[in-house]
Amino acid sequence: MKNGLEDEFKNFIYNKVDVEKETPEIIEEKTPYELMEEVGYDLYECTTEEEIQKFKRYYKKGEELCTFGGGRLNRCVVFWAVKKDAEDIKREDFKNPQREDEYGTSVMGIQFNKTGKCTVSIKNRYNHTVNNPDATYGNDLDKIIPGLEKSFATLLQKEHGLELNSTNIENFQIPSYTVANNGKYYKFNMEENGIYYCPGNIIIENGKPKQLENTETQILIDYFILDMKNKTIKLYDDKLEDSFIDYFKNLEETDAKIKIEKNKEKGTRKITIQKSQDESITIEIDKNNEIIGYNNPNFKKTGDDFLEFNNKLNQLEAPNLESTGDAFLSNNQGLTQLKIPKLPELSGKFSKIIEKNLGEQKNKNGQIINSEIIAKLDKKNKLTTTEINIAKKIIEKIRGLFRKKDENKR
Amino acid sequence: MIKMEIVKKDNYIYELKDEKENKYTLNLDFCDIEESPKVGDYIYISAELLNPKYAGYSTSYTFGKLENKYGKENISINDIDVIKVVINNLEIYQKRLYG
Repeated sequence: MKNGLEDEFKNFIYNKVDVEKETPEIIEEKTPYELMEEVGYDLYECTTEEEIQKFKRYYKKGEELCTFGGGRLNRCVVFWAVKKDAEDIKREDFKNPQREDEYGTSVMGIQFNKTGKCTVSIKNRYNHTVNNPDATYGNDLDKIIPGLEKSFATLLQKEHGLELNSTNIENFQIPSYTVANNGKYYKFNMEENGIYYCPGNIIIENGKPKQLENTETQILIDYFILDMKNKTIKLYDDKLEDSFIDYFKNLEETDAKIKIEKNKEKGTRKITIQKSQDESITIEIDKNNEIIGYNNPNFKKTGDDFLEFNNKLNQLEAPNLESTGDAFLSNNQGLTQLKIPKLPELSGKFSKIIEKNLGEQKNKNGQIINSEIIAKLDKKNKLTTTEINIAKKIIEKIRGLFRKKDENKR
Repeated sequence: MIKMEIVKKDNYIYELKDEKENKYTLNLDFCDIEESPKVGDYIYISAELLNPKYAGYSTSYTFGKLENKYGKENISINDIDVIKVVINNLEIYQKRLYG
């Protein structure tokens, strides 16, 4: 909600369910043929190779679909959508092909897998002359005409016994969220080399989400895995390099003790690694398991890329640190406190970031009620859009009153 | 490229497993090849083709020989659309076909 996507999100949800009507109207569903007719297309289903070959004439030489190579009917239900004036839309008039331009969408192959997950592929008239030609309109049938996906779903169920599955279509984007191949949205802390590191000890690799094997003894912190049982801190992705782990090498060969304490008030956790009586390091993590604090009175130098991809660290205390490698905290934007007294120059490099963050902390006003709370109420109490809008107006009035009060105080 | 072992096959539906035991199910069609890969064979495939976030991602792919006219022309074997199929220790490069 803090991304200002409330309206978009609500539209996304309310498109799925009509919450305002208690008794839904029964509207006779139009067939895909009727819907396509409304937007100027003739729709054909092909049930033989001969029928498929009749559409080859619409394609420029070198841009024909591989469907014409034969055998597609073995695995797909095949339709063609042809604009009524397709013959008049000439390829030579389109010098700069764009996938969804008039030519590209004038003749579309619409195919549905018959085996496995029944998903749609909308094939472009340009074929591989444009990027991702098998995903015209992002394979979102409703972009051709609203209601088309549901209409095809009905037809496929009735006539082919297939259940249309749209889990591979991404139709809503939220910053800092990624869609895994199970169709679910996952908040992620960071992404490196195509691997997403998420709160809750979840890693998404190649679209596949998985949780750490043993969440009782392992924690995913940033892009490292802390294994308390085996006493290791390692990078999940061995293609990355980060000297943060160097200090913890061979920890498993020592009598080191690792403990975790929760700070309920701050919502954080402190990991203490007691290497020996005199050697104790603490790592503080936030509720998303991102490293926000690091206190190591013992280490004197770091290698390259120390916490290179971390951007949330706000406190670092290393009183004996004398030298660092390249890219030390190079992506950090969160520092408010940096205690490295033996490296005053390096300290100076981060002074602007620290100043900015400290300034922002002072100006931050708490919110009494925000959109996130409204969305939760909405879900629980099935509020109508009108009720939500009235509630929003009341909240804005209250905020306005508080703002005036603050201004008067000043 | 990620090495995937074919652990199950049912007509065009292939269940693949990578070295980290992650499993994927894809609808695959192999053209220009005498024998389609079977259980126990390997497919080397780019991470992008397995990632739903990738713009060209699909749950269904068709592959053919590198010279096939239905795919990108003059394609490099490092292209995202190129796979390597290992059947009975024989390595075959194929490219994604479109349409």
